[in-house]
Amino acid sequence: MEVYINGINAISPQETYDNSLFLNEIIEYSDEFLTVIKPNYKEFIKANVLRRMSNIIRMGVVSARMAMQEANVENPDAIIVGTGLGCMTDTEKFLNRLLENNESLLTPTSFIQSTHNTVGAQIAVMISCNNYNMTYVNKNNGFETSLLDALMMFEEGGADNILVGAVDEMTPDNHKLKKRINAWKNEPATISTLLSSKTKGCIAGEGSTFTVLSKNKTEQTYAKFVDVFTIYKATEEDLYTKLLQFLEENNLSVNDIDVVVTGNNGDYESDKMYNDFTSKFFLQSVQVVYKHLIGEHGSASAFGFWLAAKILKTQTIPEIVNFNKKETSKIKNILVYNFDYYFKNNHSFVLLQEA
Amino acid sequence: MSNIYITGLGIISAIGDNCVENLNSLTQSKSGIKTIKHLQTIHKNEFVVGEISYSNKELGEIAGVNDYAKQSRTALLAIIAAKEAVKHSNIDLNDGLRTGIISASTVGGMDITENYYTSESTQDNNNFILTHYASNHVEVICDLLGINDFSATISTACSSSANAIMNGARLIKSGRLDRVIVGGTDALSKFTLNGFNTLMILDNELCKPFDENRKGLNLGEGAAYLVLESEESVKKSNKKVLAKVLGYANANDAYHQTASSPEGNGATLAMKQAIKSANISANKISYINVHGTGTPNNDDSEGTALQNIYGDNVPAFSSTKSFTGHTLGAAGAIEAVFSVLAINNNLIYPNLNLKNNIEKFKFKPVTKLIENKDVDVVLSNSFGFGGNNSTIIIGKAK
Repeated sequence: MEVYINGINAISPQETYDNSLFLNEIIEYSDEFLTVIKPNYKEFIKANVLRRMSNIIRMGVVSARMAMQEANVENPDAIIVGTGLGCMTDTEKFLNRLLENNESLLTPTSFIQSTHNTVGAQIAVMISCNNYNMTYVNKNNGFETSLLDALMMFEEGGADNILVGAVDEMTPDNHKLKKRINAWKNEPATISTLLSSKTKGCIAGEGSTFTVLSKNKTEQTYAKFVDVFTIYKATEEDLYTKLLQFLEENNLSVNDIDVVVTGNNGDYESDKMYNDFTSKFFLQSVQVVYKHLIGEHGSASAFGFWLAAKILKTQTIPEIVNFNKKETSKIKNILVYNFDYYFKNNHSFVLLQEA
Repeated sequence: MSNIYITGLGIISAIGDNCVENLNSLTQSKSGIKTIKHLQTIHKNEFVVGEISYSNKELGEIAGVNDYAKQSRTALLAIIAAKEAVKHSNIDLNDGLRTGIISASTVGGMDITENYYTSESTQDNNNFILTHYASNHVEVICDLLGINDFSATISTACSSSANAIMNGARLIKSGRLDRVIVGGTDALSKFTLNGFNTLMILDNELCKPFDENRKGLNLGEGAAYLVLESEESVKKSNKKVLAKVLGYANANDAYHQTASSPEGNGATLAMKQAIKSANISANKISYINVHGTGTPNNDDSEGTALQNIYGDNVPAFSSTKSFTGHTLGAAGAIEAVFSVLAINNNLIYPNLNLKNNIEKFKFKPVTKLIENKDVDVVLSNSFGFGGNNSTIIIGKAK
């Protein structure tokens, strides 16, 4: 059984929603945290509906529609969404109002839209999709669990196309709160300096990535999605054992991995972990990074998946993401590795292959 | 499909701290819905809820954790129920078999977030920032019990833990896990109480599911977990099994973010597909534990879905939310535990507080406890916001 990536879309703090481009122009940080570059939402959502939607619903629904449009799929057999914190704008709106007005003068809209599965549900309503609809909320690997769910569904049979995505939004309130626990860098950073930082913390971001996974290869196909693995806690040694097992199960060895996409985010300790991981097994591979462009968030690794798919399709690696400046002629296998940088847990491997 | 066995149950709800207490309340028609005691809200005397009578400190003692103040109530409830389920199943987590967990929650640590949200930044006050995540309670359980092979959290509103059961079963069936602890947890919070209040779907008095004059739901809190094992895993330990997961399905109503379609489309699809996946005919169902929140919209839509499948001859059915209140992310798991207990104890639970049947339906729920009844197969419904409809089918292990 093969699973193909037949459509993919990322709305991120870079200009990525247009797939005819591939990180051609890079946008430098201008605020405390990175916010998404928006496509023209009105092209996809009626103005009266759009008005009621928060940032996360807008970017989630639109990137899902763009991915489906590209794959030429109107009604997928399942909609599976991952998120770290879900609909924060609506949650905060309802919570702040509740606390400020001592539980009075409340209206239902923000409560209704605060539910974690709002994005998946809104997509279903928009395209009248009665099929399986799931939302995983695993801090930083809801996307990977969603991929696993889709993979099982293809194995079970009956599904031709599955919409899988992950989306998180950053809000000023949430940014402030996370600052209290030293999640972010205290000093300003730039794209060119972030990943050589010697301090703790990272830069916050947000974004939505959706992909259409399909049983059949088409002219649009980007790559094959081969397999995914997640584990809650792992020592360095455990992780290496699991990595070798994972590759072996897919009939590959470390030498077959042409590109390894790692989640370096400027946090000194976690960047060291990513770099040690790469240098231990993938000395010959190109190490590709992306969080210096889009920031860190619960759905960031889905952007790593987008990047891997684009690299496989175009057979090019944009200079800005080539971390170890290696060259490679033919790109066949890409491994995406990520973990939760704050707790150093929730590790994940995702394997993509040239179609 | 290959057999998925249920070998352990754990539960804490407004009608008891464990399986035995919950079963006793169910057989004695003793509801746990009463005046609010612990939740600090201006609506204290306005609504009745299915609240667990313990304070967080007391819950911490039952859970066996000494840092109760650092845990959300949601996590404390989860620890208690998960520990009971694992103990009940008698599994050895160090025997080399692959064990995972899929749990569900709608609002995670909101119960403490809302108390500290506007507080000053101190180490103690900042704890809520990390316990707020819906997945926090899963990490707490993994750390306490030593589960590491797989963990995931589902949040699809009020169908969350039914989906956790379904996807745990699918993981075993796929061969990726030998055992999985599945369920969900949610504590009462001002956030949810006020949220449901703005939707005007709370009844000030005891909820009356499937009554013509029903006014709304009563919120509740709780947690429940089931241990699912593969055939091979059960063979290895040669243990007694409690029941089997026969089938499951999730379908979407695709109608409205909070309201259910009048035709009960999503609910009908979920039930039909679950029955198909169990490879049985619809008339093999002995008992239906309905979602039955007691809101005018849900019971109307769910009743229509039952009618779509069964016509006027619906199997024995009842809503146990009249005992526990609507426990949101825990509801599917709590009702799955009740379903297993129904099978194991030959019982069909009553639907409390019913006075007048819904006029448009020719069927009505069971209103008095039925004992010594052979309960072979139970169908349990859980429906959530976002049109998220799930059905689980549990059968006697033969």
